[in-house]
Amino acid sequence: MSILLKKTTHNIQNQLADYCRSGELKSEIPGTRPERLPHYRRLVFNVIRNTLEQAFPVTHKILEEEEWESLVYRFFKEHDTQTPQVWKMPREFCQYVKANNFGEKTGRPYLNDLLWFEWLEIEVHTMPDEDPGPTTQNGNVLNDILVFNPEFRMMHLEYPVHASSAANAARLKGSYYVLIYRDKVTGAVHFIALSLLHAFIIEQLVENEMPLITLIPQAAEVFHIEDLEELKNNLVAFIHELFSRKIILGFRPK
Amino acid sequence: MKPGINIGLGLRRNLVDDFLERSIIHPDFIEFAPENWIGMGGFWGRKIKKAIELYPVTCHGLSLSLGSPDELDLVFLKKLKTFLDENNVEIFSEHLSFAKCSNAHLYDLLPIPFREDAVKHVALRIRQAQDFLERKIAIENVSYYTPVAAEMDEATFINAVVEEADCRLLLDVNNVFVNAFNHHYNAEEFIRQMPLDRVAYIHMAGHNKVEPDLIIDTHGEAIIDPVYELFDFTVSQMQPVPVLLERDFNFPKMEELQWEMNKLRTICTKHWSHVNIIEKNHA
Repeated sequence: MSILLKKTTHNIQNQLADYCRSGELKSEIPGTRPERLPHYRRLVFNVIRNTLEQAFPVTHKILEEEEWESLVYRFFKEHDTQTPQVWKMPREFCQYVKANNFGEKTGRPYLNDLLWFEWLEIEVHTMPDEDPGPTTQNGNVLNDILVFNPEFRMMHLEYPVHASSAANAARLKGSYYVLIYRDKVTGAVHFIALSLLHAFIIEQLVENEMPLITLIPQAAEVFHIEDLEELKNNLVAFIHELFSRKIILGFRPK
Repeated sequence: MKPGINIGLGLRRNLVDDFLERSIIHPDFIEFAPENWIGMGGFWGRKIKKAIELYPVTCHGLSLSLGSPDELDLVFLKKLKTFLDENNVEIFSEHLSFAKCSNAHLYDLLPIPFREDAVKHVALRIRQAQDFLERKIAIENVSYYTPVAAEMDEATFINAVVEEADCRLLLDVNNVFVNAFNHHYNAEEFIRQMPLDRVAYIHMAGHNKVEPDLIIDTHGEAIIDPVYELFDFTVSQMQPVPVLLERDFNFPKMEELQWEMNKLRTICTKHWSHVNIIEKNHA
């Protein structure tokens, strides 16, 4: 706490901020015009609500307006927003909803997945540019190290919110993997649904920078696959698809 | 920024392509909130880089919360410094208000109580931020809709902070108009009381009258004539500084924004043209 700011002034500022967050005035704020305070509450709350509605258009549409408003209201009142960059604040909203189990409480078990999926689209779209490092177009899919476009996020979902309407997704609880990625040239964001095997392959290739050929026996063991030739063909076809989508950019020069 | 008269326009995402094309709008410089662009890559990252290559840049911060009772956010300050340095930002300004309190951001500008202890507290924070950023900050006089436990008037508060912090002033003429209307004081007299020799640049914008006795500073409308008149008076009282037109939403056709910039330039030229002549003679 500042040594220069008197406790009275500090408290007055706290009172005003608390009122803006909650809309509740526990006691009169000294030296203010009470009829003007609701304008501050409205202006501040509108920033929060508009930012969240832009970030989560699907969630906003699915929830009843009253329900949405109430959720945003509670978030702003109860959660201490930490980021100084308002466009990153929706990430904290995802965390808040998950931590407070709102999905289960409101009969929408897919809510966490849906919010996170919507947020990751923004996160990937805006994430800092990342250098994939030295890359060549000459190489062998099996034997050379593959260079991935680093601008992606892989997510595990319990509900297929990427592929179904919310009502359908709620009935399809399972295990789903999605890769959300940004086209290096256009900056556009796309996603691709993955099997568990393919998610595993991407994770291993990115983390360990190993050639696909050395990963095949490991994948066969983890997934109890006996036919290595079929596995190899499957993975080579998958890698070609990643090339065509520009998720793989080329090969690491030797 | 070039010598003489500079009329800028606030860069907003919706308008980026118009700034890059330069077919209708021709600002001398641009301004944007660094918070909206720090760490931004991809499509938008490329757009802002192009804009920065084309125009001189000023940055207008939103989240430093210089008037906050909380500690300064040193992590954010570090990111801010890197951004300002890397992008050759000519002037950095922030608001004389607070946007964070009790460890939570509110993302809007709350009024600081005009009190002696607040002067000392805010001035210290501005000095600390200036030291960290290794540059002067221009602090903006903000619109406010209610006084908060004031012990002095707004002009006294601003002067005291600017003096004690040894910072610069971003004089928002629309905010002076709004506050003069909302709190019943004389806007020209207020301008006279400002430390005009410390003004780094001027903001101009539109506003909304939401009640018979209340104007909200929205930046969503065209500038009205009485604000142009106050601007004319302000310019007549001081030496040339850059002038920025702010428009945050409810965007009109680009021709209308250019028309507003032209009008600002005409007023500046009326009072500051002699400076141009002197500069040319010196050259």
